[in-house]
Amino acid sequence: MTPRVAPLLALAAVVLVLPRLVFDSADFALLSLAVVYAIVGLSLNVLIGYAGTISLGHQAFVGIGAFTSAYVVTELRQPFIVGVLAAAALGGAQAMILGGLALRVTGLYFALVTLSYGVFAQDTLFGIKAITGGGAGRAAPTPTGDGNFVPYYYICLAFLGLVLWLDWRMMRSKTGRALTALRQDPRVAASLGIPVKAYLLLGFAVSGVFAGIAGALFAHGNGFVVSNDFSLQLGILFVLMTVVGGLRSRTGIVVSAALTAVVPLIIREIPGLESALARPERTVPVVVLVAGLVAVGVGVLRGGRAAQVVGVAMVALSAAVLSPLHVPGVEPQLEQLPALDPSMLRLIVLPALVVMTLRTAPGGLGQQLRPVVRWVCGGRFSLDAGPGDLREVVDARA
Amino acid sequence: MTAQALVIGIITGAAYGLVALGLVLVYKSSGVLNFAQGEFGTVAVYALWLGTTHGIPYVLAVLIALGVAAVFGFVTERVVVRPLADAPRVTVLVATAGVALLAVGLELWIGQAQIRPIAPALRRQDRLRILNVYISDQRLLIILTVVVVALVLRWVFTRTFLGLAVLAASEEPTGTRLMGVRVERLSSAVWVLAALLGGVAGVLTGPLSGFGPGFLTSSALVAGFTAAVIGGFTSLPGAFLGGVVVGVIQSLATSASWLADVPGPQTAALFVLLVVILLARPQGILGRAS
Repeated sequence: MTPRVAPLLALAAVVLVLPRLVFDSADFALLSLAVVYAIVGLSLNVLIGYAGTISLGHQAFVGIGAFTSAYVVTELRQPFIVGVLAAAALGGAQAMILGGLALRVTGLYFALVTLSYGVFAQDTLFGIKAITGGGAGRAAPTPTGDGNFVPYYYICLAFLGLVLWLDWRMMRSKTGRALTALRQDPRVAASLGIPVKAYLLLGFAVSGVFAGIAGALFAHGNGFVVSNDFSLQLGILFVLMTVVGGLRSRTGIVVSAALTAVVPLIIREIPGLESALARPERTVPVVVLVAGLVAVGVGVLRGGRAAQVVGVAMVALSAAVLSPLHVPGVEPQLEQLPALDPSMLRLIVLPALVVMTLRTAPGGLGQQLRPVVRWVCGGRFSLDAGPGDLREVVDARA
Repeated sequence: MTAQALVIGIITGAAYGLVALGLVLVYKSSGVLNFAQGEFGTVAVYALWLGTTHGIPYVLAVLIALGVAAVFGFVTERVVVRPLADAPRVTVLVATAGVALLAVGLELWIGQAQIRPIAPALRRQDRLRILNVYISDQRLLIILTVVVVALVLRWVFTRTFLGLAVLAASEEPTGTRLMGVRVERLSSAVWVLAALLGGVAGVLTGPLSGFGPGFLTSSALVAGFTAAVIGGFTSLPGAFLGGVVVGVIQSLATSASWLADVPGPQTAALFVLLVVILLARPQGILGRAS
């Protein structure tokens, strides 16, 4: 199959040229972050999607890359690229150490180890004053000059391209096939002569290298790194955006991660949405009304009486609040609600999307995009993208 | 010094034990690691805060807060856990992590990114004095609660129909259903109970040093999981015991002079403890090897 040139050119135009036309140069900080998130998503995908294990401490992987690069650039006075390389190396090394544990502690217990590791990294590793500057943090100058994010965005894109290429080559090679086999059944893989432990460690190393690169780019895009940037919340956010993107789907993950990062831009660009969020006393009843209608619909379709009752109650209450009728007690409470910040909206919307993904479309965004991707790659366009690999967050080792 | 650390460890560990009990309850009955357990409690504290600031009497506000937690647990089970009943356990884990993040987002919105004080149920600060450590009434209440809850749950799981049915359903859902037990209702009951426990943990520990968005998750979820692992993850008294072990080791780490230069000694101790336990004795102290 030869790829179709026209859609690829269109894609390149959207990624390379369109942002210059639509956004201010200040917005490129957030666009760079979108690229960084995409790399983080791909890094998590290597662990969850390919190796079939889980990491709830990926914020630590990213943070180690960030502090390494910041230290190398500001303290050791090395150029930016050396910082990124050091971050990639150390990211890979720490991931391999954690991977060594994954060989002994399997399944759900390993999820706990990564959870604890993430919190430990934030409190202890990132608190080592000599390297990270303690709670005060460490400066990480943007290589393209302070506040000059337009060229930095293109640097980030170049690294994303590199990561995508490495990922693609890896999955096309013996390593990729070995990882697929050991995810689906480690025992069968071992009996076929695949050194399961070695490949699992390799998977961790690759994931760590990707995360290290992402961390370095994050640090220098931010201009500053503090340990509080890498909280458990961020780690969960990373996992959720990867799952929504669809495991083992590079396209889906890149799109989902980038969208997660640019939520504030999206909100700004949709007319009326920003002011709606600033006035929750009007928006909340509308949301409740819609949710109630959905609940009634689902209840009728599936015959759930509880959903119908709750839905009708929600519709009735919100309709009363929205109507000129006054509902004593409710409206003054709604008036007191603070405005909804875009970054909070991310924490509310993404979990809802994850639950939807896991319940109805385990293939995630990638599964939905697959017909388009296949067409761009030169295949015939067909809405039936095949069953895909529907085993979503499968931990083969659990 | 060490003896003092022991006392502090036991009183902080009791709070971990309370979180661990909720985790063990869910794991015992459905094999799920519930990452939303901390948020069940945080949501309850926010409800308590909203209630008391609106002039509702404290006791009534606590009951309302526990009700909110129970509803949250119920909805989580119906919307998230039950539809994923046949999915791999790690999938459910990710989904509960999502629920936790959603709760944090809502708390950030309603309460803003602030640490807030809230009145404790019992106000006296210096009820007991053991080795120069003052123990407040609230701390005593937490210890009492966790012991009572652990014993009651143990009784439920060994002596009552409900508990035995829950255990049966976790071993063999189809067989239990054939025996005439409504397995779905059991699952609801377990999650409501776990959420209530989380709510109790939140309402009791929230006043100790104030609360913010996701406070119980950040202060006690990792410790609770570690406590549950130490206890063996299926043993209810083990969860309480594990909580005390975690609390004592944390407070020893904080007061140890040779760890004085290590930042965040408490979390470092937790991580090391978890790894050592999982490597050396994965079945925990009171758990049985499988």
